[in-house]
Amino acid sequence: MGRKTTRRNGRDRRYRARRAPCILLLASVFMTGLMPQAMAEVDLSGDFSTSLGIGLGESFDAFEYEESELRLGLRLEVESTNNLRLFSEAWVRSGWDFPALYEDAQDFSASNPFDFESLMPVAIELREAYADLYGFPFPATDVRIGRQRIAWGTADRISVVDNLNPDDLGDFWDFGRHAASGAASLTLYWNQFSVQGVYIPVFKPAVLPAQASTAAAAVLPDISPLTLNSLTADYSLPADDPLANACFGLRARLNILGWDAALSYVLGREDFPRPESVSAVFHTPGVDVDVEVVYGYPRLHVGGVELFGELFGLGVWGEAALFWPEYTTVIDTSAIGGFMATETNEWYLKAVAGLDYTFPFGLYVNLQYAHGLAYENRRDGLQDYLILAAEWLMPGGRVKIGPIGAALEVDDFSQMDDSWALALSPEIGLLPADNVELALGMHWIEAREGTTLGLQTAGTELTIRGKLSF
Amino acid sequence: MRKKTFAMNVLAPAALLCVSACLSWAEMSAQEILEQVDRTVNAPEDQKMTATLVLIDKNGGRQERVIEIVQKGSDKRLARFLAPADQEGIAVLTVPEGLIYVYLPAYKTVKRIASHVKNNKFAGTDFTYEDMEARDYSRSYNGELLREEADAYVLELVPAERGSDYSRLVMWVRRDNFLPTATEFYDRKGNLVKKMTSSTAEKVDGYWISRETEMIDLTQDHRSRMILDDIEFDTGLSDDVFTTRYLQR
Repeated sequence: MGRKTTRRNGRDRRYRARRAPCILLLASVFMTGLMPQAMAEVDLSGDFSTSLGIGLGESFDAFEYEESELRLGLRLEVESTNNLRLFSEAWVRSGWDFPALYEDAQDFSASNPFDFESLMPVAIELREAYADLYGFPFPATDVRIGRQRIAWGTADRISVVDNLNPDDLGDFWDFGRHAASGAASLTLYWNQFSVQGVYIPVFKPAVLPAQASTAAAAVLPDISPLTLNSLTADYSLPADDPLANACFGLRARLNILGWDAALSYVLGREDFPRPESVSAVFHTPGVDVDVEVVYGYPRLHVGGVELFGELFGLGVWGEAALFWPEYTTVIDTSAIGGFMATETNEWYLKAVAGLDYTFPFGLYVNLQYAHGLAYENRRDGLQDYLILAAEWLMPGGRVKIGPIGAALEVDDFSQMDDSWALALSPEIGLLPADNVELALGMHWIEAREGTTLGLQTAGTELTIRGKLSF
Repeated sequence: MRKKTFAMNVLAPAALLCVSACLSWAEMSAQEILEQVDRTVNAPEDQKMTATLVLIDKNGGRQERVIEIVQKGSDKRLARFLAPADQEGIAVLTVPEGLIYVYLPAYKTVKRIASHVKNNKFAGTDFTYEDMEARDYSRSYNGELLREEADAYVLELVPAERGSDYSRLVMWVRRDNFLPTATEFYDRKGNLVKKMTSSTAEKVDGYWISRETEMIDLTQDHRSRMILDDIEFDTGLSDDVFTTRYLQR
């Protein structure tokens, strides 16, 4: 199997996205070319949104820009006949540029002070572009071909069976966001029963957050009393081998006795990198070491089950997924007088259970328990979370309290005092007119060392958000 | 001769009408009136229409929603938002057994919604999901005839099953075509909380329909006006339209 090794960091990811305009252009031409002469309906819609995050420090004493984004989302939909529909969505993204300028200030002045792209980085991302063929090739089947989001699961944003598209952790607070995949899917419908088969020819890994480099340190072997001089991470992707890349999914859904149930199976790859080898060599003998980690995306089998129903007026749901990755991790510290060890396949089980209710005065509340989130892929690394979400559109429809999110993580129930983390993200929104939303919010994390949520920047962040739809 | 003609032409039919009206009043129970209402409201095999919902707050501020609605019988309905832009494409499917599914284009997924949503406002309007539901009045309510007015029957309706946010409704039904013209909604404490009036009744393709309906939320001084356009009846809608397959198209 051919393997392609890449070395990445956050800056590479930002610039890589600039190649996307070509893709968008090609997609537009492709879609325009497909339009029949007598096209029936063309709908162009979208939204313009902007957000600004200001870090306030742990003691409200250190103000700095944490994140900023200007985003134009464009959606083009063409329905040429009752049986053919084309859809595409692209994001044009930029920032208010404060962090970009500060991060790149040195490189920028050293290389090309007149480089417009360094000053004003813009990324264009083709979120989706697909064709729907209804009643094809049989009256009871629909086909979708192209770059598409295949959202499986009944849980709210933290589904454990939603494993076909790569996770997108570009925005930590946007739980459940996935990137689309180039895929072909066929769904067969028969009364209350449906079966969907999906083929994804080319594997894509997850979009990692900026804190991924911190996560890499978690696989380091214990090298004390030596110190770490450098940590190098290489990422190994399946190259052009169709078999190595191919991912498949099958999902059957049924409504029985008022309950919606589904069974699914995915043959895919872990979209978060898992270490294939970890090796340590001396940089300065007896003092510090260089560690090199090679990450891969091993084959993964996932069997899932979903259920949604109603009890006493409450919406209730549950999901469970058994993950079986095929991997071997070799840890070699013999060069520094350590050991050589090998870890192999280890299955793990993730689950979500939740309930929701809307009070008569309009307050929507949703409570979920999760054992293992998307980026946790080791049996001993699955944490327990209690996640509360609420939203209330106040009388008059001009003020929205929420979405309010609260997540409690507990890593070890026997040592709760030292293994918990709490994240809060309340928001208040104003809807001054149709299609306009302005919001002021806050992200706040209090976490013990070693917790997953603790990998995020501690302290408080103030967020300002605006959105205009058209 | 002239007197005889007057008696035959005017008095006799008037007397007949009066007797007939008295007899029909005496004969028609509240339940029978509700069955007549069902025959009027749910008469078409299926219906398609575009509803424009205008939301008006106490200061006169307005918001607008446009929804395409298709319905078959009294228990299958699909509503799809055409406007405003931030809600475009959201679709709600109601099927027998009270199951509700919603399609959210932003998430590319069909979600089931539990019945707790029924008592909530539909898309920010003063109509709740329960108000918007297609239904058989005679099966959903136990009726009592309160009084007869010159051109309307006045009925009190008590929900036949638990789960409604209303303790009772008072409904005015036109005597000539059994079309509801006004409804008062009382909460569980017995307070009058909302009032709905229907106007511009007309016959389209042989079926009576109210083109304009206004719901006033008396507790918040907020009103929603629903205007129906592009009405079509009996177009032969397939049952396939009322499935999750069609919902996500």
